[in-house]
Amino acid sequence: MSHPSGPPPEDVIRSEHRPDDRRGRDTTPAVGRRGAPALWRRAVEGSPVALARRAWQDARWSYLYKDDTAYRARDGAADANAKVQAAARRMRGATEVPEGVEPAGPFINAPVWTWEVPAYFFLGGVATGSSFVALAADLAGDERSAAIARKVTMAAIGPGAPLLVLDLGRPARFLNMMRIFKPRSAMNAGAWCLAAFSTAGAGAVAADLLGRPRLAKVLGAKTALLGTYLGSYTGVLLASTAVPIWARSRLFLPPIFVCTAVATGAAANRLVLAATGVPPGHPTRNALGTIETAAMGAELALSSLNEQRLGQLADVLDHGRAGRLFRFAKWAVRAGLLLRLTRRRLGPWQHHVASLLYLSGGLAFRFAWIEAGRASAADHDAVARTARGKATADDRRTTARAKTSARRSPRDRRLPHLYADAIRRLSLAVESAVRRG
Amino acid sequence: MSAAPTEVAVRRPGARRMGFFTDTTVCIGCKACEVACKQWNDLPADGSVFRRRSSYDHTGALSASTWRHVRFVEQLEPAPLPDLPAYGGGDLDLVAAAERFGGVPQMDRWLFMSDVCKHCTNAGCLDACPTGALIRTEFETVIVQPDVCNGCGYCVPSCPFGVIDRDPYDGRAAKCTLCYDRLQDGLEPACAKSCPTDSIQFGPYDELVEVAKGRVLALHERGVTDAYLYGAGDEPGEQLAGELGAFFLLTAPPERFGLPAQAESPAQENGPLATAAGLAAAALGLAAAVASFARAHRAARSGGPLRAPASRAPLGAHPRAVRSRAPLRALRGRR
Amino acid sequence: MWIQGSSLVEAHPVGSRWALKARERGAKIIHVDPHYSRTSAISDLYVPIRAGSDIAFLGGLIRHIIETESYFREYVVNYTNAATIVNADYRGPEELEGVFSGFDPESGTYDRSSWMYEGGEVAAAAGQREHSTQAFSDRTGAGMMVGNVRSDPTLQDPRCIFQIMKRHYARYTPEMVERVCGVSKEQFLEVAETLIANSGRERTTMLSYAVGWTQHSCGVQMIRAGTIVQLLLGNIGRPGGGIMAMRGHASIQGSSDIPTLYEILPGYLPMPRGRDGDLTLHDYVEGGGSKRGWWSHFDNYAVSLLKAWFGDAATPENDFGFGWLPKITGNHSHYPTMLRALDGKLDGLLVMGQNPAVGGINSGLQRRALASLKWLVVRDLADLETAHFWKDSPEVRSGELRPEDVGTEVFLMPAASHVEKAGHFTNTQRLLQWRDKALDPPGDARSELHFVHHVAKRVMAHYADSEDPKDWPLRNLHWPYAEHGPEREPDAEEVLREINGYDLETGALVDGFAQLKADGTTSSGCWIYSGCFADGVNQTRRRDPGDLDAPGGYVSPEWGWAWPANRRILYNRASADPSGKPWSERKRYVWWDSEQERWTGYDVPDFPVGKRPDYVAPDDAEGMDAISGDDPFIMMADGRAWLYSPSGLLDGPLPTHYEPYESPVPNELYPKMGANPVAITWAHAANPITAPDDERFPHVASTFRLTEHHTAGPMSRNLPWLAELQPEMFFEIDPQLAAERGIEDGGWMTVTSARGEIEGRASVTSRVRPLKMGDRVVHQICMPWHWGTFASSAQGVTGDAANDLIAISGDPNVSIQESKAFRCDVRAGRRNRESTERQAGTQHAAGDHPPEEPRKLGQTDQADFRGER
Repeated sequence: MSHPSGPPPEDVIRSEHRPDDRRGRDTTPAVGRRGAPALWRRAVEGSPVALARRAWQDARWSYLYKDDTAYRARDGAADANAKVQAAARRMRGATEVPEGVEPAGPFINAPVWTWEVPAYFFLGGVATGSSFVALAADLAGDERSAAIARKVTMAAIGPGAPLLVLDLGRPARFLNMMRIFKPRSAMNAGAWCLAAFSTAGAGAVAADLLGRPRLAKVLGAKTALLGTYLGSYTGVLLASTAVPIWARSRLFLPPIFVCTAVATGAAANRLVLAATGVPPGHPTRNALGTIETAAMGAELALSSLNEQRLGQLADVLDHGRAGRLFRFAKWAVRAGLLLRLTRRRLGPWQHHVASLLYLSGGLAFRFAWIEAGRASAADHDAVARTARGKATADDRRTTARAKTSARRSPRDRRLPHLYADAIRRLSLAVESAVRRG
Repeated sequence: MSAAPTEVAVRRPGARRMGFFTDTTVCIGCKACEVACKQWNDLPADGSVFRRRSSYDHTGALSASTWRHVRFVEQLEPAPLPDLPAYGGGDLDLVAAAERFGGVPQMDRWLFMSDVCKHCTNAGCLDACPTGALIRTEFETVIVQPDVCNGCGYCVPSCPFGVIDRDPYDGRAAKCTLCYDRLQDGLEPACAKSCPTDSIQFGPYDELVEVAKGRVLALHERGVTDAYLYGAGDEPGEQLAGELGAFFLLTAPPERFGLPAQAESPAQENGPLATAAGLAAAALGLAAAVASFARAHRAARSGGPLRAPASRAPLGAHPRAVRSRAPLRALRGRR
Repeated sequence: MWIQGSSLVEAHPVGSRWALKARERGAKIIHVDPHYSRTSAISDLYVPIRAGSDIAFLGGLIRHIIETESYFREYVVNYTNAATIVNADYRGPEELEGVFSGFDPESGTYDRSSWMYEGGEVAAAAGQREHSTQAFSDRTGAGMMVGNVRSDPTLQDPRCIFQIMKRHYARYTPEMVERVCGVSKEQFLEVAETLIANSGRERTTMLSYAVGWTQHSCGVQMIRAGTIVQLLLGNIGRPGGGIMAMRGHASIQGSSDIPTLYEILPGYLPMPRGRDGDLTLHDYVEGGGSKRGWWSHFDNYAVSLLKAWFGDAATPENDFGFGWLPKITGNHSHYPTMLRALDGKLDGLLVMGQNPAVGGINSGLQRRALASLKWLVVRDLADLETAHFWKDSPEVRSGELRPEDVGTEVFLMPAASHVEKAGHFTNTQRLLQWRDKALDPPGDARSELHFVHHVAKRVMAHYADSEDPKDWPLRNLHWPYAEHGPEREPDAEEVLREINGYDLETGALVDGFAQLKADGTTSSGCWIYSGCFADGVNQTRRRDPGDLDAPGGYVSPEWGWAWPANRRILYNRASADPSGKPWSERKRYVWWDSEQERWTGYDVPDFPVGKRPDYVAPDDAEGMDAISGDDPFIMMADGRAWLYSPSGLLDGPLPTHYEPYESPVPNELYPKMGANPVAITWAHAANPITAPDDERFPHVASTFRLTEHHTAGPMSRNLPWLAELQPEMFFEIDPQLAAERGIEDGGWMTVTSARGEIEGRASVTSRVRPLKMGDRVVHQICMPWHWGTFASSAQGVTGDAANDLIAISGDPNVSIQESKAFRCDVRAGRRNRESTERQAGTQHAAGDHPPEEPRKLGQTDQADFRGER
């Protein structure tokens, strides 16, 4: 992540302070410390708090909580609940923001992620696509291509993890991602999946190098299966946030990301295979050509369909940086499709250029979606309307449904707890070993 | 309605859900809560910037270093311009003034609202947190464990109320803890303690909700028919994030205070559906890949328009060699 | 609750919880103010008014109450001087075009003999007097012979005060109020009707004001006008009524009880004057004391004070040392003193907990004055502008002052904060509350008590063997305080005991001022505080609210201690009707218990406990015997509340609307008269005042406070947590003016006055309204005054000081400056020179008046001002 340059101002003040108190009273100016609540210590450990009335009795006293100030629940008001609920419904029940009310933001915080995340999304996508290609090639009996695809997979996913670590506010604590297993958190699940995927993929490549084709195939298949999640969870990750443009695309974003993944994966492999001498007209190349084109076509179709139903929310998709990136991506893809589908032969480079266009298009899409998220979070009207529930064409009123299934927590089981704690300590140890400057 | 017992990470016999009831009708906008919070939690100032169109609010919004924040809402009503030139003010072009400002709207109401983490029953940040740094305490409040958080930043866009944030210097996410340390000692949180008009009330959740309901009715009787509870007392179908541990009494639509009219933990609302869609699409993609490979290779074998597989061709074979028929023959030869 | 000239919520956020509780219980809150503040936000009714036009508004209320006969007749007839007949030769401003009879244009003063009650005569002393020293006899009517004053209970006599008032305010119609104040007729009538509806037997209205009234060239009269309204409605001396003077900060009340003022001694005893008739204790008592009413005890208090000061050295033979007390010779208030300093006629200054370089009016002038001192001692919590003016100030930045040229030797002494020292606060309702010390002050910081104690000891040691008779007080000062701890800190409680007073024969603490004697057998440092240590217990330390739900439980007599005699409401005999029965059950407070033949009630009765309601004072009675059983206002010689004050005020017996010194509009009521004719200005080249016909400054400006900052700022601007809440100096202006001058919200703008020009952020908001006054529109600019140019902390904030813009001027009675209404102009963008450069070089200009002799703002003066431009 990006840090502001220089130390925080309050640290400057603290460092300038000269303790000059003869009485030994700490006169360091109280100007605050970041990231965590202060840790206060009792002068005498365990001693009671002077003048405090235990069990929150202080809070019980109030000059307002008196009958004479109409500040107590009306006992026996049977319709109290109904009235209160009706009042709330009047003010926030409507599916439109009331006339003349200008939403006064900020409503939500924009994502703080920097370039690392979309870059990882892209590479993760390529890896997923490659793993698919590897499996497909294996099944089609093209072992050599499969082996190459497996290598491409690893080449792509290799930098993925480091990128994610880089994006953390406390990179040294990256291990905490594996501290618990938490399916409801897309990022946690993704982290686990990434680990499994990389391990399987690495295993497969190793098997290839050691000349164990069967094992390689099996591991490759495993990789591809894990890939189904690795390629889609990034979409889920964005979709399960409060950012309107992402949240309202919850049914489209993951498929779109999968398409990009498959397409870029195929494109990457096509180029690599070509470079490694697979001749034109070779079925694998043709297949890859078909796949990347189909996938990109689908991606384009889904995107525009999504844009249609997003209505006004989609404004952020064609304005600002996000808009520029999207336009570039779309033109790249369209150009690729054109090159691919045109009858006329323009030369041997024609299809390679197409693949390159797909790749760059895919990359642009990833960055575009993150940018769009930032813009969308800052679009107060969008947030307000989304919350009101009439943001997109197919929106129903959003209601709060208790999802106990989603609220399963491992914390109340003993063993995982020990595990979690162990990782936490390890993480802290790592951090103290590699302090950020 | 309260959080699922399985989610509570810290156990303590007899602990109840505690919360805030912030009554904006008695708030005087003194910002004592904001300062008391920073003082008790020893949080830094956000830096002194004069913000435009912000009334008396110069700290802007809740952030990693501002856990209580007082919003100022200047609610205007249009009014006619004084119809005569200003005394001694030279000749004033009222038309221009009107065009520029749409007249001189009259001050209708000046609303103050002390915002804070809502400690949702269905907490988006808690659902999103991949490290388990965010937990639910025995008081059913949601707090960040600073020694666990690794600053992944996923909780930031996952909060439907824009509360939690990642400190740019420190790198960790931070937000209101409902003064967890004070609660453990049986003390009320700093902001509630410092509120001179009891606009911020703290106590056992159920009791607070009862008080709040009574307050709404009382205000209605007094003619303040706009008064309503934001985040408590709703029917299950209409709750905000399954009811808010810190709820508010407002007298204007939530949008005026930067609050969403409806909210739910995004992970719970969108996660399952998105995952399903994603996996389905991925499976489809994989299948499609396999299929097109199979088709291509089958076609190649059946000697259709497709030609030689490269598998037998020597690595780095020159394209010309490929165009010769030799490989094809070799292919037949293998049959 | 009626709040005018005060922003309760901004300046007293904690106290305002009670206002809100009152609102919760159904009370209406009315806020009349030029500036829409957080107070207005919680009010049921906000009324924007032109700064400085309050008397017109209040006069309108008085007229409305009289015309609609909505006054509380029984109360007015029996408890006020409404029925009293005034001298035949009294003439009011209606007849004399804006002045009262006895006006002398030359000296710009009044001969006030014609204002007297018929048959009454003013005490000899009151005629000739030092300028602006509020002669004590005047304030209380002490020394007046009121034996044969006539009165007409039917209020019909054309010369009775009621009829005089009726004529006086006849032209203060709602239409006139609209023309003068910019308050719409509808709003004015709504206020009037609400006040009337909430007053009378069953209900009372509370009035709260603050420096928004005080700081005007007729500030005292504004408060008087408010008092008249409250008296007409019968809201004085009754629960839920009264007038709350919201104070500027902690214990300001205390600093006038035991004064940091130059013209009174502890307990509001007058400062003895340096001329015949005041040089001996006897004359002093004669002049100050009174034959009738409470002040007949004057001598007890004066002698006990002298005994507290000089101990055994004070004997009847040497007049208890009275002769050695410093005598007052003129106006020694802050401004003349600083003007004297400006002209190099002051050696040194001791500044404790004050920041004149920012908070002082015309602060550019104040800073220049500081630069011409020889030495300056500043005690404060943080380094501040007043200690820093020589190093970094607008004058230094402009090059007018060069640090190497400034001869002032500055000593900055760290002060202990209120939690680091013991002592008591006296708050606005005269409640003394003791604070214990929470922790030791850091480093070399010490309490004021410590500082003063040790300075005094050094001074006394220095003069120990001086033969000079003038040093007698220093040699004989009674200074018994013990020292404690490593820092040799005196014990504040010991001082409070001395204030309470001792019976010197037994050495026991007295239980109240009733026990004080004039024969030198008792001592008391401040008679009104006598009793705060009754029974040898520190009464101010009590914190028992008692049973709040019991009848009258809200009085909480066991919480702290209120002077006088732990009385929570003054003149509370007025809460019962003349026969001694409560006006109403709902408002029962103090009443006559006929079984026990005594006054009783929830509070300590402010009346001789045994005096029957039907007691009628014989004409020749003296002392308290001269107060009849139905005369609640025992501090006044006639036992009545004064709607019309025959003596005491230098600028008229009745409040009259005058424009502020600097007003862009003429006086609608008295076209010949602009500002208060007897108000003070100190004509000085460095203190120019804008003439009425000056077109350069068309707008009205007023200052206000913010909750986030404290007064002149050193205590709040340097704390990051407070600084970020209000980071920059700003001006609130209405969108119309902003459009006219091209000023952008949040952008820079500059405000100029005759004194200087300052810059800040523009806050274009509809909270400020252009005021429609009859056929003209007046724009007001409201600005906080918390910013100065120096910050002692890296995260502290700085800004231009609003007081750089304001002229030094004075109300004739108390010489407070007019800082709540002055003229200015605005423009977009930043200032292009230092804030006070406008006057650089103009000071010490030839031909300016000797500053220590204040001048009236007569026509001649205005000519002079024009001459200067």
